[in-house]
Amino acid sequence: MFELLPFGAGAWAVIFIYIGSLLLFGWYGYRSRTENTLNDFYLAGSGFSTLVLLLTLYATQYSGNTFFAFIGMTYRVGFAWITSVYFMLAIIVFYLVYALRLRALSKRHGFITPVDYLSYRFGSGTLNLLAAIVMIVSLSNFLLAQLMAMGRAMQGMAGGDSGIAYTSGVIVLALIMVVYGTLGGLRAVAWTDAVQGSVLFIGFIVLISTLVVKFGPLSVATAGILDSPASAKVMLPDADRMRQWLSYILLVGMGGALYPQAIQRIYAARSGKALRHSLAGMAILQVFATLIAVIAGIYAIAHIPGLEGVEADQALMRIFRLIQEDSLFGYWLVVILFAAIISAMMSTADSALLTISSMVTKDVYGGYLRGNASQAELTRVGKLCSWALIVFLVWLAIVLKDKATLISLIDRKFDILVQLAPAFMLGIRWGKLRAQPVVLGLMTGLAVSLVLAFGPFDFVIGGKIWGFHPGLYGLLLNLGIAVGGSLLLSEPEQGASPQ
Amino acid sequence: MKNRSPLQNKRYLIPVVYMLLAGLGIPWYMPAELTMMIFGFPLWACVSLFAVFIAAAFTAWLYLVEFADDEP
Repeated sequence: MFELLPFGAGAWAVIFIYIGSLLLFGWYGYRSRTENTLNDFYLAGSGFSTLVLLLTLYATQYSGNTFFAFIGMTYRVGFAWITSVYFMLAIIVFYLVYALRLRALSKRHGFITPVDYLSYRFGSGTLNLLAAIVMIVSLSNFLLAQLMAMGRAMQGMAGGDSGIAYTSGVIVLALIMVVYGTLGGLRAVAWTDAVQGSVLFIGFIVLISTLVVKFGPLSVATAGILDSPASAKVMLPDADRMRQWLSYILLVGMGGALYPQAIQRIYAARSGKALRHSLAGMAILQVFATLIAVIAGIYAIAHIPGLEGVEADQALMRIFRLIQEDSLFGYWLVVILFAAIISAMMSTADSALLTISSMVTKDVYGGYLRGNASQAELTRVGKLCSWALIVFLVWLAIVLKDKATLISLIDRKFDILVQLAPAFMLGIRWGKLRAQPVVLGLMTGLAVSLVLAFGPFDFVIGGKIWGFHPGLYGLLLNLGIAVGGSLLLSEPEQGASPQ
Repeated sequence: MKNRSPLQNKRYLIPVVYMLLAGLGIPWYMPAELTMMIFGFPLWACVSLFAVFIAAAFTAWLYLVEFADDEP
């Protein structure tokens, strides 16, 4: 595939050294372990300070994949994708509801997985199993999206037979990823997150500056779009798009705050202060990082017309090519950004993989199959599970290559993840919430969301009903059942406090 | 020493503030024919970005000050 790529041998050497250096993080993480326990492997032992936590949370919510998806989506809908700035901030807002309390509880009771909290709060085996399935399925979806994005990144840089670049990219990068992740655990993943997050944030500011120098200010790009057939992408969004805007804020805000790998990072905060300061920093950082992607997308509409459907997700790669061909500085900027994006996708995918493996190991294997397994055995099973899962998902990423746009993958994941909101967000604040209604609400919410999302209904347009995601309709019922049922059950007695 | 919450018993105002900012930021009230541009952003996008910047600053303040003792 090398002769098909516009990068020279020197650039490829830099990219491979950059990506290969991730293995060093794995090795260093392995050397830094203090004990062979689940806590050390999955939560990095004593936990992270403010800066590492901030950057790993940032990289968890805002991966390399997000750059492709958000720039692609801006390319499709134009300025209306300012929506993304809102929903990325909404994630941090919804953390206000439960993250600080959850961290304190996790330290007190030694939680490893998100299900540990549910087990402590509700003590329901059915809820534990259901929640584990929901999170494992959502995370697998998330991981698959990262793998596909890695393939697309390679494909975007390829010339003729880009199918080979996609396939080999997914396989090689997944292999490196699983090696360093299973070596160093959360330490390795968070450290790579921190490095990639910093490089990407600074790199994209430089990229936007380069676009301004090359094409002129944003006003020129916007004027160009207004004079083109894509002029609607500058105009005020229609009513349906505005309803979608609100829907995204609620769905992604709540769903993103319930990312199981982010919940484990909450557990891994060294102190409450470290977590608060990280989240405060995230609130500001997310806004700028997301806005940068939107601006890059606007430049893409103006200067790279004609991308249709799945092709729009390649808008970022087209921008890269333009910059790369422009100057030697642009060339090396793209080389570094390309390497950082691929690495960021890998570390994001790896954090999902790590969380899935922790849940399969502790919640399923340790919880149902071998309750007396030692910590060393559980850690070993977790690593084996990571390898098995990655083989399956790499195969799926290759098979599904041209089947779905990145954003549609993201949509479905949140539809089901958001159904956990009553158990986590309400459960931590309202002592009267009971297990049975929560289970019933969760099952109803999942059923309604999935039937609406995948059923053959005329009223579901573009995966949404009247502009709102199916998951929100499911959540409304879910919440009604959880609250109504708990009120009915708790009437004869005073509800117990969750703490 | 723990910080005292500036809002104390008025935390119900927090969702109200967010709802107001979302109401301002989602430009449902803007006339479609308004095509004024500011630094390459259409006016509706500028207003929307202003609202989200305020929301981000408000959120950071909540974490740093208001929720400084929100642990059980």
